Amino acid sequence: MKILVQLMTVLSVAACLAAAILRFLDVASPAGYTTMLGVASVVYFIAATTWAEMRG
Amino acid sequence: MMSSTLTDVVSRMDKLYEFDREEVRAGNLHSGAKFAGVFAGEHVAATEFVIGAFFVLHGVNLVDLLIGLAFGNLLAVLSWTFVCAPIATRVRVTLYWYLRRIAGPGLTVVYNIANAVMYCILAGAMISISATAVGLGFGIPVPPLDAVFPNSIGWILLAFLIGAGFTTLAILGFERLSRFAAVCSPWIFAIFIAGAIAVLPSLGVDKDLGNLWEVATTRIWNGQPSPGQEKFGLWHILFFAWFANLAMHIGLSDLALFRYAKRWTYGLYSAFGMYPGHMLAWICSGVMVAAANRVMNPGLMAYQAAGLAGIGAVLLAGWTTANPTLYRAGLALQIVTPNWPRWKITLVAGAITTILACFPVFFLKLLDYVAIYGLVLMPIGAIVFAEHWILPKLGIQQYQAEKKGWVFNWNAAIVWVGTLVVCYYMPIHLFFRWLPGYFIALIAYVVLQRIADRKRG
Repeated sequence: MKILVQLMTVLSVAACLAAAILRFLDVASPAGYTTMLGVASVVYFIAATTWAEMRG
Repeated sequence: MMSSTLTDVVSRMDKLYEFDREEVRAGNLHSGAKFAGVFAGEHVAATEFVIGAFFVLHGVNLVDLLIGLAFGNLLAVLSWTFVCAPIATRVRVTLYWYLRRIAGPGLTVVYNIANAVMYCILAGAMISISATAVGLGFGIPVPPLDAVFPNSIGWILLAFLIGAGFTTLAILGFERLSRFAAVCSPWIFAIFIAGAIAVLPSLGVDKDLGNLWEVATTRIWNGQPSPGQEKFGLWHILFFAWFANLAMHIGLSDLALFRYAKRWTYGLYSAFGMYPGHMLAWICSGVMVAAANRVMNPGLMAYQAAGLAGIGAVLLAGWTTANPTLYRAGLALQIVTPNWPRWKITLVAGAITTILACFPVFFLKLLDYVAIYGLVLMPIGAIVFAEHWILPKLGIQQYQAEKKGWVFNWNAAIVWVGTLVVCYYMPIHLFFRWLPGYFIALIAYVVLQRIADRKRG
């Protein structure tokens, strides 16, 4: 469980950066980019706060 | 009467800081990784959205920016390593307790209150920056660059509501929220990077990055200041990067942090905060403001670069900086508010901060404010440095205030005030005044202590 949460935290940050790169390469539309960024951000906060709780 | 009041204030203050009165023991020292984490987390704040953007508005060119940030941040790291950390690892106490031995409890109280006032203004600026993000949704215009007073009722209401929100959250659970703030830092940093990358095409950068340098030098850091803005060059950037945390390294506030370091070389871990936060994030905000047509509106800039996530980043970055600031300001206020509960003190600190946030001048003149903040507290760092290293080498007795039981070390008070007066009249740019001021304070304190020592025989 702990590893899964850590992985989700790291992957969600990576997804934020990936969304920007996809926008830069014009693969993602402006709306697609901001949606991907928003979803990745929500996932990040869920995972990171869970991880912080686990660490106490 | 006044003497007994001061004694009372000092005694209350000592009680407040009692928990960290003891020297840190060998078993409580922290690892280097912890220092790297603390620095990395602390130096990506709302101010970063404004500082990097202001460099663009001040017409910095790219080469000056890169060299200035690289060397300015290096000097900041070296200041932590060679000035702050060596003293911290020798004395293992906070600046509060060390300054008390040197300057006397009275002057330490004055220092603490000065620090609290500075923190309140900084928190006010953070609230203003957050207001630019929330204001987008309500169509409230951001005050122009030369504004001192609020330009609309909407702005005042916004600053008031955000300030009230931040204060309420701080009252409801400061410690829990502080932990949450630590969670936010990596994400805010990711939004900085993502926002800058995403707006590059709107500035004309090709997909193969072939014209990146050309775009950066002609459309972002093109050396042309915005109307009404002073032109900045290499030295402005270098000095700004160096003194952005002057109170922490040269001013020695970070004795509180480095007293837990195993070795003085742990000062080098500050690079984990400086280069991502004070170099990369500043560069990113510069890119974002250029894409936003050089309009100083952090909220709009972040929204255009990262959508709602950008708005969230500005809001959270403002809040994560304002939250601990409210705590620190409240701690200092506690000495003059006997027996007040924590919530009431936080409420007062929050009210002061919220009123300050209504005045946009504090965020629109943030660069100057950061310079003044460091400058005001810098002489205390010089006094402590002289007392710690120079006085024993010259055979001058150390810690006179402690040994003689003085409430005020008047030599220290004269040096502090005198240095600030001299700095005020220096015919050089505000950003450069602290450096000669530091040496003036250092020499003046040693000379005054030497004279006093000889008089005492």
